[in-house]
Amino acid sequence: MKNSVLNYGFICLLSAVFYSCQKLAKVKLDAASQAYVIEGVITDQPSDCKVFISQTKAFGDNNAFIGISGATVTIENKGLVVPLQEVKKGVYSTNAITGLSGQTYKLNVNIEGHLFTASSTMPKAVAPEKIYAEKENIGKNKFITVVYQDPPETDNYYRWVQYVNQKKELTIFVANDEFNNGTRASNVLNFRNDISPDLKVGDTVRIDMLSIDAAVYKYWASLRQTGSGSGVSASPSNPVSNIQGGCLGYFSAHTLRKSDPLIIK
Amino acid sequence: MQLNDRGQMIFPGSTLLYKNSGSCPAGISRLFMMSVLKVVLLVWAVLHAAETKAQQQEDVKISLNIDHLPLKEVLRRIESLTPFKFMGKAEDIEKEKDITLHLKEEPVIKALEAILLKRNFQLKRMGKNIILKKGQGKNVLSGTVKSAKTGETILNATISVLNSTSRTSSNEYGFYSLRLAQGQFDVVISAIGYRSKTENINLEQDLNLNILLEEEVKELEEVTITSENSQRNLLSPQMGVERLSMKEVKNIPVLFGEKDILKTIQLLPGIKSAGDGNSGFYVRGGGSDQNLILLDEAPVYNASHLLGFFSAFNSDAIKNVTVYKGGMPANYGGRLSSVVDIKMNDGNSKKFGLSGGIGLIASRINIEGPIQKDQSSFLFSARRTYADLFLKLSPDSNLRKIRLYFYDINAKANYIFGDKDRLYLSGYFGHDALERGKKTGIDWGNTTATLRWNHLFGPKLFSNTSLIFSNYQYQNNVNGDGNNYNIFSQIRDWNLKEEMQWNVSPKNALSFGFNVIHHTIKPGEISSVGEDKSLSTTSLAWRYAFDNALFVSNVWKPSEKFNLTYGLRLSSFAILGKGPYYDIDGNGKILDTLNYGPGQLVKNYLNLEPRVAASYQLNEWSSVKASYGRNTQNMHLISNSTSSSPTDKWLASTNNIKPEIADQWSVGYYRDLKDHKYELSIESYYKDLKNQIDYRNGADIFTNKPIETQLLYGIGRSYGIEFQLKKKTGRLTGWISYTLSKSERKIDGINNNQWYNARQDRTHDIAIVAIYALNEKWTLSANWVFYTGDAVTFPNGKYKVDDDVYFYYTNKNAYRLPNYHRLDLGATRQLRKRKNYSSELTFSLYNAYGHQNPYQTDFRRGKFNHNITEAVEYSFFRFIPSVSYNFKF
Repeated sequence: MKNSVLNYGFICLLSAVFYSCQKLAKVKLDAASQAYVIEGVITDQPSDCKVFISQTKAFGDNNAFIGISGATVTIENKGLVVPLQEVKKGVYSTNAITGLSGQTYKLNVNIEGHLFTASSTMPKAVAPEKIYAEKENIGKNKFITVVYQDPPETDNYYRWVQYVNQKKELTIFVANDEFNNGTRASNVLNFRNDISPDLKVGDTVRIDMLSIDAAVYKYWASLRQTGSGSGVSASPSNPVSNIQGGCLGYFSAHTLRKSDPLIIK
Repeated sequence: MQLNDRGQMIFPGSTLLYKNSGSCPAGISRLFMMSVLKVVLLVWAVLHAAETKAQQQEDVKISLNIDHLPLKEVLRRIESLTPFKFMGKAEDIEKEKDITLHLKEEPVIKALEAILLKRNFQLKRMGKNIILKKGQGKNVLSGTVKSAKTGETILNATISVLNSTSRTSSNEYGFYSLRLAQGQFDVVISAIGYRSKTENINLEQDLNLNILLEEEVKELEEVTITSENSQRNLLSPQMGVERLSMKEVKNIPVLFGEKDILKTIQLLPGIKSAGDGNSGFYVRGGGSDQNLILLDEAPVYNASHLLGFFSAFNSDAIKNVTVYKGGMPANYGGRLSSVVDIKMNDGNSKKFGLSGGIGLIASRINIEGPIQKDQSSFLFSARRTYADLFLKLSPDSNLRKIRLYFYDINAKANYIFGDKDRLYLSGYFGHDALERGKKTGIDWGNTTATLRWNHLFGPKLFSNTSLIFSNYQYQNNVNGDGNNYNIFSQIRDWNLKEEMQWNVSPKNALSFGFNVIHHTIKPGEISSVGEDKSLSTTSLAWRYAFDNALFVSNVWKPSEKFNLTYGLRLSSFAILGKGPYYDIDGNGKILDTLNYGPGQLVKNYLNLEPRVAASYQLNEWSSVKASYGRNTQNMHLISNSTSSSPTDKWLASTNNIKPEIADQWSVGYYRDLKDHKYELSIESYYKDLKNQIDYRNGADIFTNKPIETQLLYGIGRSYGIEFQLKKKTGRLTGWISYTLSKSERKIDGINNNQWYNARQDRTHDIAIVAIYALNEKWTLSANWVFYTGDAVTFPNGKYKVDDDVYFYYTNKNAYRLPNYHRLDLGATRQLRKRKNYSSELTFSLYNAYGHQNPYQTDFRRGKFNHNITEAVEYSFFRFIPSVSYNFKF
């Protein structure tokens, strides 16, 4: 939200009045020692408990990230420990457990003696009531608006994932209910066309709506704010992870509700 | 705040009675106040012990009754009763008649000395012989220095006695006071931009001498400079100070040709620009919020327009700026890094005038004239930008919807009541709008008003009382994720300041006073607006505080070579209810909420701020100085962005946010070269910072939750050395400045608790400014700046989360933006100069060789090849030409 304000201010100024330019730069960056990246997910949908394990790479390397094999991964709930099997290099999963709202899940990962733990509580499910496409306030692009009923209690956190023509659009969309608790709320999924193309007539769009807990919200919000590589932030930093043990990534127990597909007209 | 405590004190070792009429801040006991004053007294006593001792020579106690007798007879009687023998010029002694002296076992010489001193005799003892010398009494020469053309008072003019070391400067109201021995001498009065003047005076009694200085026409001939009219005072203990008058800087080229005092000071050593074309600045490694910016004594919280590209101050209305980078006088306080004291013009008291200018970005108009001819005046000055008017012509309908402008108005009037009183009323009103459509936009502005009363209690005691109102407010409508939000911030201050300047003796100049500020603050409340009406927006509480200070400072000149300024500032920051305050643990978790009633004291922070400065003049052309000072700051700007942003928050200290404290030590060497034509200054400083504030990693800044849950605290240090070589007279004027410096922070919870570079840490900073008067018509100018790029955080790696690439950071601010450098050129063409009308054209070219100076580097997945990552640099201004037309009736 903050970035949108800033961008708006600068875009206004720069495009309208001043001369500004951008160019690709050669920046000499020192490679740090590698760190593990753990991405753990359990949802209230069957067969949806997965953990991805990988490592950081140097900036100059390509974007093919290779999974880490041979880790011991378990999910624990109410004393029941479920092991996850490595189904692909660096991908661990199980069909033996399906998440339930209100339950706390604990992740344990052992990579060659390095222990990582995290816990996450699955919130109550909130489903999108409807989605529609609308032109932004100013500009020509259409964006999707999600409408949903925020529950009366406070501290609800959401994440949306957008699929355009079955393909995941990568922008992070998160929100909390600090300013609209208990209302029929709406959220515009406003994204930049740097990598994903703008929505155009005939595209089919579908939305996943995730109810996440506070720590996971913090992770996504801080990743979006300070980890995305934007120079607007005075203090870029790694996002606030909910995993103990010194690694990057998160562990999220969340509910998942899908919207109906929408064809852009 | 009531004026409830008063202290009276007598300085030991002198017969001075000093009545302190300062107010005491809430929560300070009278006892504490007295102990503060005792510290001052102790310093006084120690420093003056030597003087006192000389008076305690052996004396003889006798009883004596003399009524209305001539001096000759009195001396004869004393000689008969004591072993003393008197000597002196007979004609002097015979003139003195009618002496009355009654003693009862009292020291006779002391009594005699007291009587004769009034009759202008000095007694000198040589054992039992006492020499009477018709002396040289001391009298006070005082007055106001003004411009002969406009009647504007002239600040910091030098008043010196030819062939003597006696000299002083006019204060911020043009007033000066100099205690001199009786006699006849030549007094030289000089000020930058004015022709020096020599007045022959015969001082037999206190003399009021108001001085009118003629403006310097373009100086095409070299002027002879002597130590008397050299424009800086090598002996003044004040260091770390930079003074610029608008006259001096008007020819320096600036962005868009819009003269800007805050951008010009960035060319001085130790003062660094907050970015390309930015009016924000950093002083000696401090943050941009650590500068106290005063406009006619009123603090201005956001001294910029248009996201920082212009300063809030219209150059037409500004007379002069004084920047203190260190060794702040005790009458200033409240910010750690600097004081930027900006004085507005008073207005022309000789005749009505209309002037103005038309530029590319803005137009200005200025009206001034006398209220009482030759005495008092008014001024009204306004400017407005018109970028949005051009946007209206744009074929793009989106651009037409943008409202983008700022305007500001300065107004001032003064009135003279008799010889001793002058009343000023000045005001500033500035407003910015940056809006897109109706729902999205930023509106902000500062309003200040100052009512000021100068009063002379005599030629030696000058009083300045100010009642100041200051309001900073912004409103920001954001369309975020489809919802409409409103961010609202406000700081409203009421401020009473009393300052007395007392020229106690030729050796001592005391200043003292108090300052009471009441703050009302709303630090960025977010509320949702529009159709999506929120049911439960929690509002952010108003914050209230009394920000008080008592100060006393003395300039002591024990010898012709050594000067010492010592002072104390006692600051108190009393946080008052009503409102909730929080007990917060180290992880930012709220443990307890404490609700305070209206006016209830939450917390009072007391700080003693000692300020000491010394100077020693090595010879006629060089001196060394040293100073130490402590400053505290209770108003903090919390920011997480690289430029000024709507989410920046001004916060007052709370029970969790402690006052920031800075201790600064500095030493300097000053030398005039080539018969005082060049001034060389070298200053070095070390600054120690406490209670520095930063956001936690991943802080949520878009929230109404208690801000302290998002903050971390730590320490800082900065040090450096500054060189400046300046030429102030002749066809070619200007300066070269170079700063070598370091600024670091260490905050628990950031960078693994290790020291890291502050963003504004710039190793090298060079500025070269040159102004050349080619002929009567043309003045050319150029400046070149170079500095080490900002310390920034770049990624040391990358990783994949949720199918996208993100960046991995290890060390904070361990990288640098590329070095910044830029050349600006300017030229001023005088068009017409008649008695009643003159006009000129000003041309400038900003970034003349078009070097791209990146202000930001983004890292992203390759735009065309998604399998790589790339770095993109953004830069602003290249080859910005401008032309403006200025006129004056």
